Amino acid sequence: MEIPYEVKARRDTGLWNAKIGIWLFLASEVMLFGGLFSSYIFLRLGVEPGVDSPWPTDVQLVPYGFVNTLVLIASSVFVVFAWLALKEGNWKKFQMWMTTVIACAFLFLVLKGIEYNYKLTHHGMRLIDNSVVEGVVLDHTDRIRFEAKTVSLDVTTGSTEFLNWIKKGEAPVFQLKGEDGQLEDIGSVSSWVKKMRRKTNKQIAASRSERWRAKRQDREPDPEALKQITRNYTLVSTEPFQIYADDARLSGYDDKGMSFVDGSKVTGKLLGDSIKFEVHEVDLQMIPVGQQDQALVWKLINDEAVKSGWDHARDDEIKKMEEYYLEGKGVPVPDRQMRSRRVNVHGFHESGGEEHAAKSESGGHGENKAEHGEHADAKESGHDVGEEVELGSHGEIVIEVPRRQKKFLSNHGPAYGTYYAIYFTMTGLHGLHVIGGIVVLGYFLLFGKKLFLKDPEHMANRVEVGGLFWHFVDLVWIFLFPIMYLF
Amino acid sequence: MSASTTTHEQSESSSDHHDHHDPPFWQKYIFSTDHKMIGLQYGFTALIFLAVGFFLMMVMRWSIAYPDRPIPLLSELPWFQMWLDDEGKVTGELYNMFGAMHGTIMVFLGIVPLAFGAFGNYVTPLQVGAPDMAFPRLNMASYWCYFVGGVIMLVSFFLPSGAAKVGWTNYSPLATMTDTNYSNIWWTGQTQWLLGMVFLISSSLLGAVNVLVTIINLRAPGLTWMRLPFFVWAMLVTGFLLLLAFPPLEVAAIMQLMDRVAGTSFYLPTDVLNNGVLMDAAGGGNPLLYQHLFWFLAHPEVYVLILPAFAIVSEIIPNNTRKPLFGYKTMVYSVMVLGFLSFIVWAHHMYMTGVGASVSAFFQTTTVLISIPSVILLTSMLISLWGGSIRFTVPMLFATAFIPMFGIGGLTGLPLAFNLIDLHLHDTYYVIGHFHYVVAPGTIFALFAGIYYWYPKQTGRMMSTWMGHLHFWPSLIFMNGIFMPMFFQGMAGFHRRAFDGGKAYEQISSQIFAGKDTLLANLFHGGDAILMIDLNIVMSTSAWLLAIAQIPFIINFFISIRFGKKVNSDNPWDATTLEWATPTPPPHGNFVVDPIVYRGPYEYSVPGAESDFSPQTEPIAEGEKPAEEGTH
Amino acid sequence: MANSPEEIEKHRKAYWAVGIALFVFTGVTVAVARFEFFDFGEPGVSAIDVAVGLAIAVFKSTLVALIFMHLNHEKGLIYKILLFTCYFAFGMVLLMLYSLWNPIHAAF
Repeated sequence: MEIPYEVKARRDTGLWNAKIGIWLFLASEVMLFGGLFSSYIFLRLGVEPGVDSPWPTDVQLVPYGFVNTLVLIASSVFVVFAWLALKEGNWKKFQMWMTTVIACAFLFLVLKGIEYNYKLTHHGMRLIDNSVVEGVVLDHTDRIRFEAKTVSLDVTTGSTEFLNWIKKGEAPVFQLKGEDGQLEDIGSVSSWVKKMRRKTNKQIAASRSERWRAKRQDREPDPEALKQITRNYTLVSTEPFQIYADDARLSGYDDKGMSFVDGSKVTGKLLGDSIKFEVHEVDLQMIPVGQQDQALVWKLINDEAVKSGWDHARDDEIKKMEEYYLEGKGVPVPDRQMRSRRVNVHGFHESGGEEHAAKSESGGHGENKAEHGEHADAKESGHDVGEEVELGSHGEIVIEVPRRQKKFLSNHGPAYGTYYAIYFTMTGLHGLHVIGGIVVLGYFLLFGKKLFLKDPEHMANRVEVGGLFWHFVDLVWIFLFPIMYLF
Repeated sequence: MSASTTTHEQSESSSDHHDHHDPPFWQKYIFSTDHKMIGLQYGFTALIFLAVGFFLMMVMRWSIAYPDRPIPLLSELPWFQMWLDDEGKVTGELYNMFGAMHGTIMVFLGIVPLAFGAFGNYVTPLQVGAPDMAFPRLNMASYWCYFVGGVIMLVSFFLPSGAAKVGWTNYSPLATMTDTNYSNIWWTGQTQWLLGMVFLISSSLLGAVNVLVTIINLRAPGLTWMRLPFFVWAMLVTGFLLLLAFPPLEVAAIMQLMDRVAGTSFYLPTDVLNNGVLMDAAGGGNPLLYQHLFWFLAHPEVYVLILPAFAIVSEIIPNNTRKPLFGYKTMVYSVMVLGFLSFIVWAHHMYMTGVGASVSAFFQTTTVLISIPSVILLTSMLISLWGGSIRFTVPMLFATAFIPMFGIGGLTGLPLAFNLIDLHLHDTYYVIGHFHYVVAPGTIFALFAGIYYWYPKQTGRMMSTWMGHLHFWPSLIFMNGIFMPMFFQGMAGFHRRAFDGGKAYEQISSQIFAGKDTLLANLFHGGDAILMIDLNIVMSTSAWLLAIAQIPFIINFFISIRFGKKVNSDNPWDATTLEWATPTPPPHGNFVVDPIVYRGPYEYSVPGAESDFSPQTEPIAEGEKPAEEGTH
Repeated sequence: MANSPEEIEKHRKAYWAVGIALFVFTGVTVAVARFEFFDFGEPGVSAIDVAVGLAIAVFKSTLVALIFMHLNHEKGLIYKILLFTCYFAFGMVLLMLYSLWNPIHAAF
């Protein structure tokens, strides 16, 4: 059996099957990205001034996006050349062009990866008065640190959340603590919990059906069924272990212990909960100009040099605005333009910051070195920030933020705001399409020769279809680049 | 000599030719690329899912009718205990979970796959005279995507968190906040629901592309657009709806997935509280965004549910009235207009969200407009009955029942189109009744009709007629027994998500109306509120009896494969469309001789013709006066 | 469709030209966004900047669609499919934005 019109076009429609197929598929892709673009517009226009964080517009590594655009356009040109080569019947030339296309695609992904990595290794923190600092969290201090020995959990509802947060390198061995204080080996905690959950549920079911049956038969239930069924167990570690937990996964904590959202409790000694943060930028857009001097962030930084440097930057900006609006147009500066944008505070601290930085860092100074080196690398790759950055831990502005003064803390990943969310979602999905394109075009390149020798026109048709998809991927990026990177 | 007998003889003679390269079992029955086998796979899987969805509903109905009694059978199962309270009664959590999954399973895993996957796959290529779908391997991929999606949904029931429980609409921010207390957020029902949806959406997209290309490019010679059976037209429009409406849901699902696993706040406004505690999220999002994207799919989805039903019924009615379909051309245009309008009515699901007065006005208008093509379709079918010599075969019984049942469902939807009335009826049982009249006695009856109608094509045997009657009549009665009281309850203000059967409703209505002498108070004072609640027992009992009424169908379905009455030709119903010109069952590649089409799809009782049906493959004989194309 | 060698040569030239045009316009977009000399309207990102940037993007994507994706000489059916899609896509975007307009806030 052969499907008609696989290679040759049908007369009345003038098309072969795969061509209609790919255009229908692209139509659905248009709706997919249409949905994403309309979400973008919906979210961006939906930003309420004074309530939501303003939409950030200058936070991208533009050179990377620019080069990536050129790379994709070039690959789009090459893919039509590959198709033309097949039309000429020249397999060698096709191979050459197609290899270039796939190389371009990989280059695109590598550049994208560098961008992602840069974002994911930088942090931002919103304080309770909505002032924002951006920079790097030091020593995993975004977590709450405990030295613990005992864990108690309810096996029916409880899971083993706490296991996820035990500090890397620690390998505590847990033993079950009986009612009489006897310790008992249990092996792997998670499989023990699973076993106990099954057992306890069975007991509950048995007791319940016994009570129900007794009620129906109008007799006293078996006393065994009325007994309290143990659900709570206590586990004790042989050695104290360190556990660093994300506070979003906690329902509460104090000096002696913390409880996770799944109900399990860890008791021990609080090592610390304040956040050590290396400040790169200060952003007071959410605070009206008149109140910016009292912003919480200045109490934390507590450094006149930095403050006055920041003030200068803000005053310059205001002056520029006044020049444009008051003098140029004769209208007062609109409120939205009076907000101070992100200001890079590196370099402001040189006169008096040394001492402070050194003081607040006298802690895990030594262990930090390696990590700082990493951050410095990331910084070097980003050209738009931190040109005056000094490497190493000396000379950075480091603040210690009490946890209750933090409102929200995250790396510049998707969680950091709706802009970052839609940026990562759209470029991520686009990246998946690029990977899909690599797979399809790579398949043609590696395994297409047989079909080419058998029926060159069929092969050319396939490459045309693959090329149409590839152009569509390029077309999406043409829109993504300005709306994500530039405006 | 009729074309059907020719093909039959030729199939006999060429059967040995077909036998010697019979594919191995797994290729023939499991990873098959034959559109008929894939259609059957879709059909069986979807029927199983329909049964699962029905079972969930029966548990829920127990909780509504007898909230004080432990649930029978399930309360004895040890692993089920975590979902029951200490006395073995259904908890609110379980009710929510089953409610959400009932909707999801019925819509996305039951009816759409059965209507579009099974019938669309099996019948469409046959009716357009194609040897197979345009992309057989994509077709297989489509089924297996669906299968994986279904398995994910089923597995999610057995996770510690249980399956999704935020309603089939899965609204954020509730969906974002639910089940976040489990250590691995991926292994919660709510997240698995989203993953399952991604698979189901991919499956629908592949299926839709395939059906569309098949219809556009693989039509037999002579089968012009206006000679296509209405079934194919409806499938074409359904395909477009699936193709273009599903991607925004995929977007919504991906963004909700990001909200759950990556901590984004697409659907979380700034400073959103969860149980009175500030959520650890950046905020700045908008829950309305989810509803827009969801309903942008879900309203066209309603037409995806109903158009295949129209398609099936409009095949069966002309066949059993022995006269052409009334207003074929009008129906074709109506179904296209329906498709167009279905994309711009979605916000009538969102009147309660405060979307804005002017936008509400717009959507009210379009919603009322869309009832015009629907009514044209229904009226055409109704008029098709007029003056025909009707054969009440089992498929015809279901098809005729479809018309008034869908009529009730459609007409009760009209009040909901209006903003003000919707504010009162929103989220009451009225809405449930409306929707289920469209889908349960509507679409599902049409699907049953289709199964009875095309069964002999695949098996070569008819399903038993008296068992069919035993299936049909109780189903009709009990369907109405379930859904009719919902209208009364809904208009009395009965909320749809009351898992205890409306205790709060009873309390409130007796408080509000106590000692007042108004019409409403007299209606709903004290005891009458209890009367409303007692309707629950009628409905629940109907539901369980409806389950029993399906037993004859299941028996009939399996027994008839072996013991049904053998058909005496390839065309047992004396039908005109192309699928009956194939051997029984159609071999791989379908047609023994490539069909050529000479006439329209519903040439029944053509003046001057030999018999009362003239198949599309039969050239127009001298002395015949077939109606002009498309103007039946 | 390109079938004869001369036609293929013609196509190749057109593709080079379009590729170079796309490169140039990408540069122009960045310039509009980044250099004050090209800054239309208010300082910073203003509606005009966005409009100019998007207009260039639309122009670029039209080039890609017409030349690279051969939409300049395609069959009528493809245009019909795309027309449907545009109708639905624009319907979605515009109606979603329409619902942002005069929302009913007072009740909440």
